[in-house]
Amino acid sequence: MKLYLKYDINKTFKSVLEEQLNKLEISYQINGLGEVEFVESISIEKMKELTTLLSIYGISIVNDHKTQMVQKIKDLITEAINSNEKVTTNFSTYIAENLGYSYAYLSSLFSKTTYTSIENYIIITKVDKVKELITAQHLTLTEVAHQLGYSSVAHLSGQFKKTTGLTPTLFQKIIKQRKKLG
Amino acid sequence: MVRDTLHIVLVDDDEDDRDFFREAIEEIDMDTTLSMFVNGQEFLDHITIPNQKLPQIVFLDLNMPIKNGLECLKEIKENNLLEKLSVAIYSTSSSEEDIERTFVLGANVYINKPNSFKKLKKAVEEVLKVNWQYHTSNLNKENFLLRV
Amino acid sequence: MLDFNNHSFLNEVLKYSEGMISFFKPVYTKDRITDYELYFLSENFKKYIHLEIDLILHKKLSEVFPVIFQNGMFEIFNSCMNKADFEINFERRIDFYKNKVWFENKAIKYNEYILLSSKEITRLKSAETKLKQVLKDVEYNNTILNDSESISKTGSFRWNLKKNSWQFSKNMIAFFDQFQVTAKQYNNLGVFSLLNDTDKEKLTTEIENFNYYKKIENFNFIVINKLKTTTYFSLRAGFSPSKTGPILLGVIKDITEITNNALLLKSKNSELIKSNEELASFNQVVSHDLQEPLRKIQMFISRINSENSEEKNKNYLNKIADTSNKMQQLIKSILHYASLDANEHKFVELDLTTIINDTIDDLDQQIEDVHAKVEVKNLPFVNGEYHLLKQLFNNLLSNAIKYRKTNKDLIISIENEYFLEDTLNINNKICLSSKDYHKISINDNGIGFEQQFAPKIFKVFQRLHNFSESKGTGIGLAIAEKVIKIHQGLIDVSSHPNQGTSFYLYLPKNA
Repeated sequence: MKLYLKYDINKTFKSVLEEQLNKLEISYQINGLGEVEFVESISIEKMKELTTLLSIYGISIVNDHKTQMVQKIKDLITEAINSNEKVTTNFSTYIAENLGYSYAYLSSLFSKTTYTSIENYIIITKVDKVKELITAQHLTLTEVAHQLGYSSVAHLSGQFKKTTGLTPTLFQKIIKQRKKLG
Repeated sequence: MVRDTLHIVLVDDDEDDRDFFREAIEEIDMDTTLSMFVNGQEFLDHITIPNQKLPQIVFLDLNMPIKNGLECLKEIKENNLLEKLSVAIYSTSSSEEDIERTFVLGANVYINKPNSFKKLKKAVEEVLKVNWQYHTSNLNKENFLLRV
Repeated sequence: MLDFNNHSFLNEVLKYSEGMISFFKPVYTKDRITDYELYFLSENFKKYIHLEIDLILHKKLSEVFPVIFQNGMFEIFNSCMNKADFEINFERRIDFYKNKVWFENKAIKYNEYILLSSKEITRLKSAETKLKQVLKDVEYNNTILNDSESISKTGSFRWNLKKNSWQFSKNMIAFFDQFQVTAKQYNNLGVFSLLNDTDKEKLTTEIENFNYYKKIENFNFIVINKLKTTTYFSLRAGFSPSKTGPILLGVIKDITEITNNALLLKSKNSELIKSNEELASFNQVVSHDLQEPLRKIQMFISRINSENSEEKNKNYLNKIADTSNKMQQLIKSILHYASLDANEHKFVELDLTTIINDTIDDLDQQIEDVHAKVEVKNLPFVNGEYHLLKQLFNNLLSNAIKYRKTNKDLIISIENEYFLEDTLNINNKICLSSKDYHKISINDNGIGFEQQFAPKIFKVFQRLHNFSESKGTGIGLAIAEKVIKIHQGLIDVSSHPNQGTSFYLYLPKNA
């Protein structure tokens, strides 16, 4: 018997994080995706314990500032796309303001760390969301285009094809057949 | 998160093709290591040794003697330890049906072997960069499909 | 002298009878009879002549009835006059005022008169004519029926179930004769005499369930004669009621030709499908394997640039040259493979030993280089084409040389086993040609391979080992298989890693 599941990864992540933090009896505050603030400083042992607990779930603590920044940028992008806000050209201003650095600096930092530009990362994330919407949630291309702020289905298909090399329809077909194979 | 080194494997029985690939990787400006195998059986034997450091991505030639690319792909998909492994099928041109089939069988990437070194570099670089995103972000790896 | 003019009892009787009486008195001229006088005519003649008999009585026939001189009656009367008690029966048609009447007559001499008794038989005559015509039509239809049955290879029968009496058309009997069923048998068993026990049962069951509306249709049966030839029949029958009970009317048709054609068509069709599949797969493999070297050449070209060392560039150019050569070899061998089917083949009796020796001569240099030894033991004569068989052995021996063990001297032995089997079933390829085969084995002590890959090695461009530098194009064994097929034989292989390989060639023994 097969069960088809849909999941909100951010929710999952948050509950796991909360569960582990609660185990250590630390007072904390979650400041959005990927950022936890502790009210008080934590001992090295508790840090180690936390690191170990989180690593079981594939969650690692980002140590250096640059990687933290990059992660923040990614988080902002993911949040924006998931909340259906239109990610437009104002996005560069949005990120720069949010993180308190110039866009040029953030851009260069991002590229060096991730091998790709912020713009490209936005497109990749968006296309990933398209994939999720058409396979897991079975929305039509029109609905997806609307939800993610594409000006038309053609625009969506064009970007999809450019990014993945496949049309959305073909992509859907392949995923369906994969599921059939089990 | 320090930027990890990307471990790449190539499985191809043709010596010239292995040379081209290696030279392309050397010229791509990314932190990589490359291991090469001459046939699928060798690769699978190597990878299933316990505590072996696993690569993030393997490029598989389709047309190999003894065990061809598709057979390897099937075995990789059946192996639980190799869940995180991205598979790129790397082949001389095939029909649309064949390409579709490799995706359905679980390949993440399909590359048509190009006929110039420049194109080869560009294609491999694109694959590695996109693969990197899937490897380091929480994008859904199951939906990682790329055709170059 | 007789006197008939009184209304005597006899006259009254005559009036109402069917028969008519007339008396004729001969008239002599110079001792010869030249005429007759109508002496008496019974009353019932009136209906024909529409005259009072008195008007023509005692008149000469030449006057009132001259037709007797044309229709032979005069001669008949004369014959009667010449012989006493000489009775002549004859039929004549007399035309009375457009009324054509047929009479049956009896003439006899009575005293010195001719007594003629007549009876009208017009209706009878007309029925007779009609009957003759009907009989003629029936005969004609019968001929048509027989011809049509003969042409359409059908035969018909009629069976009275209660009486068990059978009637057969001409061609039905011809069928019985064809299968040597005697008259006694077919008159007793009818169409059942052609059926085997199973079919007899089947037909009996169908007949038992009869009703007048149901037809027995598409009842097919097979008759095998003493020479083991099979004839296919189709039977159709229906019931018809009669005074003596139900009658089965049936037709059987020889459908052997149709059946055989259908079977042939089916087998040709599946051959065609298989051939198309082979062709499609061949095309796919070939197109792929030809594109490979071309792509590599383009790659090499793209690597050449002025920044490289001269040596490096030279290296690339050499590789380009090598790859082009390989490609050329590939194309040649593909064309050759494809041409094998296209050409017509003339077979002659050949001595395999000679062919092997010629092959060894061709491969002389290679055999010497690897210090190989080839042993040949009593090979037979076969029917075949010299160049094809030589190529076959050349490919097999080259293979053995290529896949030899490097640490051991190569020994190849070629020998013949006598093999007897009606049908060969090797790797599901059934070959039904002649009754016995030669089984020629070519054994080597080379590196061998896993037996499970055996079917693969005969496919075009399939390689089992990683010899990227190896000579040969991967089509040698495919050609070998094709050549054997052309010679109506089969090729098989058995091998074990490290224990060498044996190829088996099954070739039909000379007819």
